[in-house]
Amino acid sequence: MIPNNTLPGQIVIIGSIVISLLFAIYPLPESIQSLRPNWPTLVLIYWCINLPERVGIATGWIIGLLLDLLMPTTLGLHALVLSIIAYLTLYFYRRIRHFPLWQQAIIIFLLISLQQLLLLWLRSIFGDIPLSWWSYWLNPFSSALCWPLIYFVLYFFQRYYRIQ
Amino acid sequence: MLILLDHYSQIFNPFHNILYSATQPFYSIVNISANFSSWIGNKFTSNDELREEIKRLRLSNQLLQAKNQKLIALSSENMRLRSLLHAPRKQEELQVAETLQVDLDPFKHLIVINKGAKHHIYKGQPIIDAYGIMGQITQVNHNSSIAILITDPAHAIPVQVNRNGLRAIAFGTGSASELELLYLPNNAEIEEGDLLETSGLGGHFPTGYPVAVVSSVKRNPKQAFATIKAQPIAHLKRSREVLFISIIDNEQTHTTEQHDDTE
Repeated sequence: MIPNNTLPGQIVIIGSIVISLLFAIYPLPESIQSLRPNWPTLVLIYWCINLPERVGIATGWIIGLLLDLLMPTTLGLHALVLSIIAYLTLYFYRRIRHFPLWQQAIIIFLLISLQQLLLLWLRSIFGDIPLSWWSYWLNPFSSALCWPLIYFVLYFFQRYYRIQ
Repeated sequence: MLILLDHYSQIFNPFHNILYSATQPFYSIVNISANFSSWIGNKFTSNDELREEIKRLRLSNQLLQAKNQKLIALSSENMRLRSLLHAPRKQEELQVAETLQVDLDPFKHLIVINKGAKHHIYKGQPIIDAYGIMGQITQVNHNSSIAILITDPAHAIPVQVNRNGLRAIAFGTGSASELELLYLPNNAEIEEGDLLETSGLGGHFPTGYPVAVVSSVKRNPKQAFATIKAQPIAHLKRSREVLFISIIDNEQTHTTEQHDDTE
């Protein structure tokens, strides 16, 4: 049964990442565009917390590279930032795993704020200026609010397919 | 490391095409699903509305054709006069494409278009919609391409005032409805409501396409330059159809690739 169990596991993880990337470029009305949660990062953090032996810095790097290609930004920009996020999550995963959901959401808020900060810093080196200051920082809020949703959906699939 | 290599060197250029073709399925899936929801919306428009629309379109088509009659005569006359002067004007050809319904980097004003290297799209090619200049191509993939809009903060386009030929450069501001004309002196002859068209300087954009209408002119005697804002004419965020302009040289019939941007 073990080989049977490992195959869908990989498919579920890859599938969730692909779907999160699709959501990241799905067209939204302009007024709520800055409220779009950071789906790929949320999925990455979930798997880093719950399956640290399978998903880690390399996965973060690959998701980041795909984001760089899709956006399109300078290659390696999101890749670097998401590997840092994956590293931090792996460093703390034992603690985060046992937090109640609202405390996890706070951690998510901090991690995604850090991601936005790093991205802003790296991009300003290359001369990209954000379009408006305050809407840039709405992203961590919406992402933290969507964390329970991501958590329950991925938790369901993880239990359903018994991915370990 | 990768960031620096990609930004400062050309090492990855041969791989770009392969890498970016990996994005194609993502774009297509999102585009199809986004179109599907609008398709459902279209199913429920009433018969009367459609009839009304056909009537309206017929009327506007008649008007446009009437205007066109005059235009054909004028342009052939123009050609004749120019050939007398030995100053042939470059001819332009249009190619229709559609934008894909995808949201890209919120930092920038970019759109994805469903034609690429396969359809002889080249980097730097200007795109317009039915109303005016939209932007230019920055990246060509095999089957799609990415264009930067004139309102992107990293974009600038050479323009001239339609009324008196005053030349300026219109910079993107990052707001979808605003361009800024920098470095025009306070006594420049420009007013609210002036039409700005491409001047053709710089060689990227063809001459004479409408770009924007001046929306406000603030002359501040304390400063060297006036603050002039303009509103783009093209429906930048709403246009589904875009047109590529290919400039055809009379001497050499094929267009050459241009590698530098006018940024």
